[in-house]
Amino acid sequence: MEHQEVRTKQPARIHRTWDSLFSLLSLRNGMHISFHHHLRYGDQVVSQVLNELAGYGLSSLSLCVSSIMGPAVEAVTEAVRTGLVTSLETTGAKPPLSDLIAEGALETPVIFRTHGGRSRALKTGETGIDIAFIAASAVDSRGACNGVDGPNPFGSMGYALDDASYADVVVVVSDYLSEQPLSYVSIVPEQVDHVILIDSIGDSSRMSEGSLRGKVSPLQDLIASRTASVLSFLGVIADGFSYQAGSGVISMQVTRRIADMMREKGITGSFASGGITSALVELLEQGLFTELYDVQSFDERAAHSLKNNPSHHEMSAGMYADPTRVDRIAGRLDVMILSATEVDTAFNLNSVTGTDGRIIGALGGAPDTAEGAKLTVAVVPSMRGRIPTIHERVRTICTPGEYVDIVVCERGIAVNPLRPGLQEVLENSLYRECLTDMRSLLTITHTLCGTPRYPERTGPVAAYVEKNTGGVLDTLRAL
Amino acid sequence: MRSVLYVPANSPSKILNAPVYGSDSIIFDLEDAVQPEKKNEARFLLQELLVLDQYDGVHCAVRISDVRSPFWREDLRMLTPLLEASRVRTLRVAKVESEHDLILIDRELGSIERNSALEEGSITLQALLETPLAIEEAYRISGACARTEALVFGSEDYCSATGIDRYGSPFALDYPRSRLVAAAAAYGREAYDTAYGAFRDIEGLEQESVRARALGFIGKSVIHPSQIDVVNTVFSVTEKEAEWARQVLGAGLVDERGTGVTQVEGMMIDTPVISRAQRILARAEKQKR
Repeated sequence: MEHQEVRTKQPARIHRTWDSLFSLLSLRNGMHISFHHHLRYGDQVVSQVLNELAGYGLSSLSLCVSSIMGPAVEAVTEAVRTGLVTSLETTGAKPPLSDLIAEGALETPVIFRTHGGRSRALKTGETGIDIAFIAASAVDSRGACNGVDGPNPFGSMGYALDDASYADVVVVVSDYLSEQPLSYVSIVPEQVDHVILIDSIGDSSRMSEGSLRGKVSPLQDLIASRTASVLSFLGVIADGFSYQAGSGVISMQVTRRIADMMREKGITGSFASGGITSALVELLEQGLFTELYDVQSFDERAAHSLKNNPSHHEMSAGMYADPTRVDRIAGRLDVMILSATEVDTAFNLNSVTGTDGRIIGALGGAPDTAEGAKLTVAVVPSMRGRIPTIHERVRTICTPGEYVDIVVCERGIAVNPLRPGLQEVLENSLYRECLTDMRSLLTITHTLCGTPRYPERTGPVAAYVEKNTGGVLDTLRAL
Repeated sequence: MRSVLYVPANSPSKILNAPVYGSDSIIFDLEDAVQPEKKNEARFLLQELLVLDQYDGVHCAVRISDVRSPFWREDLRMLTPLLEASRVRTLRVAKVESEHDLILIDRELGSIERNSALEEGSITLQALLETPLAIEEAYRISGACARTEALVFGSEDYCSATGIDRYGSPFALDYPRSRLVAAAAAYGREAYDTAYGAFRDIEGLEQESVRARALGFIGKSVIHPSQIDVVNTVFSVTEKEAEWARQVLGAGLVDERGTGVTQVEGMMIDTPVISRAQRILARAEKQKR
């Protein structure tokens, strides 16, 4: 486990009421506050804190959130509607919050950042946090906390580790005070100013709801099998290789297929990283990987493994993907598997908006890992329902095409022209029959489905997609 | 064709994606997969989608309803524009139970061909034999009309009628399979085996496919894309078989001195062996495509 900047502070104060806490926080309108999203669909901290802040009469807050999902979506939506929150920095959004963003309901354009980009922005001071409200599943009397003990263990606190390092004031929010000093510590007491004990931080058993579960269709399995097969042919599935896959159904199926190959051929990888699922924990326990680097645990089994398996490491968002760090895990990846809502002829990926322009997804760590990995493969069906996913230009550029080496879909494999060596290797192999190019895939897909016409969005800028190194990558306009 | 994938004719995405899975043939199903009230929209969907270029590389056919149903004439009528505009030239006829079933369809198709841009006799038929009666009538069904290209075994109704547990033993359906294969061969038709319903049981599918191939089938219906690879593998001509066939054809019927029969690997070469070798190489050639 890695700890970042530790400041010398007074011992943390433990509060049992919000009034007690707020009386010491110098709250004011326009403050910048932050949350993490590790409790995912089981989170009740964001809603409780925003509710209490609203009750205190605050307004015009700026929210810096690693992501927003589950009950937090409703809570932030309500906060935007009432004017409690007027500025937002996060990695993506879902309806109804995203629809509100697209209507231009916030005073300033939303900034969508990658996980690595957020860490970089916090470190450089590009974005500041006055108060970080950090949910923890357990805290001790010193203020040390973690996400692995207590009644609602959610695992890694990776995104919150940066907040703890760089926020002016750190408030740990927990429903479990350990009488004994915690043996597993994610955030050290020196980083914590206040602890507030509440009845419940949520329900960690609901963490894994949402996008992570899904039946694998024959088409998705075809794409996954083809991807695993190509990777094997290219020789990248070899002893010591490092690996990460996104959380889409196809990406996760690629992992299963690769694991089958590893078992069959007796291959042991070095590490798998990113969001950690029980499936990856299983691969660690089976000895297929020697280490896991966990920025976010996706289920309770992963949380349990993080606490008990010394080869399962908690990592901060900075260690994971801060593009200014040469030692970042994303830069040590051999293979990265990504999904996307759209891909275009220049290999750009969109993971934030749908073809209709509605904000439905997030950047996450995809652009960071795509940039860092030696080989990045995007796995996308050429259409969803009868809506093409392949376009002349994606609606929103989230991962620049220069970071994407190969696109695998059910109608073929396209190699980025920027990788002529890779193209040559596949052309001289059994895979040449599957080889195609993005232009051909576009033609086939649009012949089958028709060419979609994007709804015009000519309103003021509603959101920016930021490059992980800073600066604007793309712009989303209001209707 | 080794694998023949059934695809419901009322699912646009399944119809569009059907060619990507690697089956040798696709059967777009207008019969069991489509409820009566959805038949028209399914027929219309096929007309719209099967004319697209993407089906060029794969054999396509349509399963139509049986002649005792109220649907088969309308199936044929609405499919005519599709047959004219696309490369679909094969119809698989459900629940054929007698030669008269095929004769009826043959006449109807003849009329359609004469009144359209279709060449007479260009539409071929695959007869699906699904009941004990059909199996007992297999020989006459096979010879019913010239446009019949294959007999296809359908086991669900057969098992239901006879009480056979097809999953209980790989040999349970040896009798109907053998009878169908012999009837098909008697008229030079191809024989395709029934689909394996337990689509997650790939091992069981492999065992059944091996048995079916040993009994003379050249391919098998599949109901799920996950079944295609194993069926293609089992029904593929192996390199060893192809090599044997090349040796047989190379050796010819008469030895170098012109006085006696030739032999390959201890087997006497006579006319049936030559024919078999030719069929093997023809199938191997199809596989490459």
